[in-house]
Amino acid sequence: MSKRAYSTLILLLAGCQGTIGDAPSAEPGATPPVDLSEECDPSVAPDAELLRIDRRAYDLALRSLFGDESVDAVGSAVTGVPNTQSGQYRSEVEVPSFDVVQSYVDVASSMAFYLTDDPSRLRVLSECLSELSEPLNETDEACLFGFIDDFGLRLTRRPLSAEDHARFVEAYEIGSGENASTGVATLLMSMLLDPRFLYHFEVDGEEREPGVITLTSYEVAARLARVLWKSIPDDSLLAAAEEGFEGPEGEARLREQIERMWSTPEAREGFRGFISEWIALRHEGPATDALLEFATNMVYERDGTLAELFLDRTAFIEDAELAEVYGLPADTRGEVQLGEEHRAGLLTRAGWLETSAIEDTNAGHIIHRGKALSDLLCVPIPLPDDDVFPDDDPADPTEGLRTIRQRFTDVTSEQPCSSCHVRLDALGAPFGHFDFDGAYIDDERITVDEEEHILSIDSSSSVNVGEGTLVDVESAIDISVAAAQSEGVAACLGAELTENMMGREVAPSDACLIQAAQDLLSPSRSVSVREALFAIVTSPSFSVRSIPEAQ
Amino acid sequence: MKKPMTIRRRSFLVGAGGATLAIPLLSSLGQNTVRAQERPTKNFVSYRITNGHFGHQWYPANEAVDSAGGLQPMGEGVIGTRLANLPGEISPLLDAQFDPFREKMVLLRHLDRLDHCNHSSMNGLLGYTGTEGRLPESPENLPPSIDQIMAQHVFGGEISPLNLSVRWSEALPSCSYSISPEGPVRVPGLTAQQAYQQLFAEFELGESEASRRRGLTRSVIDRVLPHYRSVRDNRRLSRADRHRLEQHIEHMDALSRRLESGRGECMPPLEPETGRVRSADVDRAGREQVDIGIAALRCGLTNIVNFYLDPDTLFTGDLHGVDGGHHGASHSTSDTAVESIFNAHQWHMRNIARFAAGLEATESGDGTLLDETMILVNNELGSQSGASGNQLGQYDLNHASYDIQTLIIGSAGGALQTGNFLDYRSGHERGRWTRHIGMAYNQVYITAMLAMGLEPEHWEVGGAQGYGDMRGDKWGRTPLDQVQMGDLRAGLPGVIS
Repeated sequence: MSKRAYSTLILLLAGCQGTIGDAPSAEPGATPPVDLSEECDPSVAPDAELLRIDRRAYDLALRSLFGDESVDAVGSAVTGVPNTQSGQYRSEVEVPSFDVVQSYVDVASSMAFYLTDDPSRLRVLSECLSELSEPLNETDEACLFGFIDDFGLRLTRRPLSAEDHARFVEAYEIGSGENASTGVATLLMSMLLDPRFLYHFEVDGEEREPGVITLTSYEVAARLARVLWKSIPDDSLLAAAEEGFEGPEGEARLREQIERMWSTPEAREGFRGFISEWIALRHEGPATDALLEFATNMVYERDGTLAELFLDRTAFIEDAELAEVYGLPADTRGEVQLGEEHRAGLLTRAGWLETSAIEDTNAGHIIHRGKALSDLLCVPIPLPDDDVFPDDDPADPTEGLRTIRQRFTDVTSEQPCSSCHVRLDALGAPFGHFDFDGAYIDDERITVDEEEHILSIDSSSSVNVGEGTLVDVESAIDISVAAAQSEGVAACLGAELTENMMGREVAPSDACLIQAAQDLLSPSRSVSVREALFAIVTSPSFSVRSIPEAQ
Repeated sequence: MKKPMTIRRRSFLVGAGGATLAIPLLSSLGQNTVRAQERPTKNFVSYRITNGHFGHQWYPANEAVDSAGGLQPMGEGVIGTRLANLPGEISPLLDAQFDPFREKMVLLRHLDRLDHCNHSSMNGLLGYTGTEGRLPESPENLPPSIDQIMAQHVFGGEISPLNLSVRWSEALPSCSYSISPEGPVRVPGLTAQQAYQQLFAEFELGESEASRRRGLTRSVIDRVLPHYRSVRDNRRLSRADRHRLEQHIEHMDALSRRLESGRGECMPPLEPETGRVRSADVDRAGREQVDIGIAALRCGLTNIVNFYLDPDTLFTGDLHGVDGGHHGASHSTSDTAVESIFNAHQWHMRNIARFAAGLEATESGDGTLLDETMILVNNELGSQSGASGNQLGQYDLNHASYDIQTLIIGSAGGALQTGNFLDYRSGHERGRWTRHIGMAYNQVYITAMLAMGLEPEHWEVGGAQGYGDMRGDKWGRTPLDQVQMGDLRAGLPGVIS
């Protein structure tokens, strides 16, 4: 189970830290969402941890620097760098393991020698660099020093200092004793191992007031590239950073860059990655791809709102089985509208509904769905201790003809299970009309002793959809509608966006960032998700950070 | 005479699985590397320089010696000081690249060759030349050059000296001499290509290249690490941030150590370029020979390496700052010529430092391969810096072999005392040239042979003490009774442990 940072925050603030078996600290389903708007203090700068470049960002940065062909050639080395997949953005703050560091060295070494083994590869970086020869003449030196400054700027996301420049020249000299090509190899290696490349340092800005640093424009640019592209700034962004983001002109320049960046495929891909982590998709396949495409298209191409994510019925079908899951002809392809009777937004998509199959029944796993929904809506339910799970599979229909919901209820209705399952099952039950593939089913069909039995499904429930109060629902669509109208869900997504951008668990010092998004995502405002994201990255809080207390 | 053996690939391999170049490069780091052949524990290396030297470029300045406390008695007939006490660089030629070896080398001054003054490869490792007509009546009974004596008596004839040459002409000399009925016969030197073919031709290049790349990668890591430590200490980072960087540093450091453990492994060098060496190739040609020498010792293919690198007219003003060739410059007192000599020597110093560093980087026993080795840097001629030996403007070009350029690096397994600058002036003076009469240079040969474990019986002829003919007095400028002869069975005082 993934544990979202915001969920943790809510838990801590709400005092809901029970483990299974504890008496619930509030009425089931009544956990109040945290309204961080009251805590937003503009004088408080967000904490900022030293983030390490993760695999996705690393891969994209390398591709932007060296091109796809070169990265593909050393691809096996790149895969050693851990990805954020299902890591909830946290791999950037994890303490690096030996394997991670070795992967960085592997990539640096492999890339450097791959490029310098063949002058034609090096020309991708610099025409003149491939023609250097020792001893360097004035033209050669101009080429080398220019490359160091230009490439160093891209890699380290800031203009090189004289010390940086000298250090890279020394790196060249490690190998130049053999020949210029080897010198370039050791130079590239050194650059790719530079801490300013592998880590996002935000330490160069001025201390505008005690304990608060205003990020330099280059650091803001680097944050933007990391957040929107999961990569490093391109030349245009660096050029804008050189001109600065201060004052009205600077703010306009910043906005222009953000919109430019947003319009690129990299931003779309980056947002798709965020969606994948936000929804915590558990499976791979056409259904998941279609769900990601729906959500990404809604936000990216259609400038959709949070409500539309929960209500829209547009789907993109590229698979026969998926078409049939949605009750469409098998040859359906492309953009379609799903039936309004049973489908509304992402919660009724096969990619979200898919569960493991349960033997002898067509039903889906309502507990798994309940857990996934509690995470998605920031209505957390803590994991039980391992030793409280029953030995027998609760889904095994050994006693009587009972629906999946009834079978689970039989097992979890008493302590120590009931305190949490009453909420989990309540969240999962409205999805009872979807089988384990996500197809709509009128009835549950169960096979006992080779005889099929038809059982009616009860999908009614009372659930907390992020509002802190229970809402009576009859179906999954009712939950989708409630989520679309929930301030708590808006705050939840705002926190998710903030967590994604900060690369760490959200903290009280992020209140202003979260609020910046939440205000726009609110059902009362109904501003697009894109604008909410823009609100975060243009918020004053985005370009400051706190200085940790003296160590 | 046995030729240097050709070794097959399996003899080089670094253990099961080997270490092959692949992407990722470091995937095989976990393999332990072992040297395939057991190497005898001592090595002797001669690095010969031609055309004499200028003392003011080679020795510490008098002021530096004075600031280090002056020259103090360091044994009978020798005064000196610790190299570590000298401020700044040891000398213009023994610059910062030799600082890592200060404790592992001995700089010697006022050692005079007595039998011959002028160019001759025999001045390298042979204690006599015969040019003064003083060879015995039965020259076949003379001892060969000291490297040959070592090969025969230290290593039982199982190895042969490896003679590596770079020269302007196709005739490649060496300082290694065997004995024939007519007297000493010079062993030809080898080009880098010839040496490579003899030693490493059957080795798979992939593994060599992998080793080279690991070495470069390690060097880069070592260069990057200080920067990591610097940024780690930024006061704007949190404790958690620093912890992350600290872990990163520790892992990189561990990687470097793993790579280093393979750095000294037995691997062939890059295959040398083919064809005749031209001016533009001189730097490369020198490095190729140095790297072959390092690899040969690492792999136990020989224990004796003789460098005779003499590009001479292949040096050019544009590329090397040597006008008129090395030899040509040695016959002029112009500023350009003096500068040319300096630049030619700098070229040699780079080679010597590279070679020493290569051995130092190779773990062996409780120390390094350098610790097990004696590198003797020598010159066919002496100092040309005039009477004082330290003053510009008093050059006295004579091609005399007084105050011969002599440096020892490594202790031959602890047989030598290192870390000193030693001066063997006798207290007598000449009428011209290098003023102080010093100690007989043949003591250097005796010292080398003793350090390698030889006994006097291995080099003495007819019961006479000493190695070679020391009775010469070229031009009558060095009265033999004023020369320090020393104990001819004990080696140089202050050097032998």
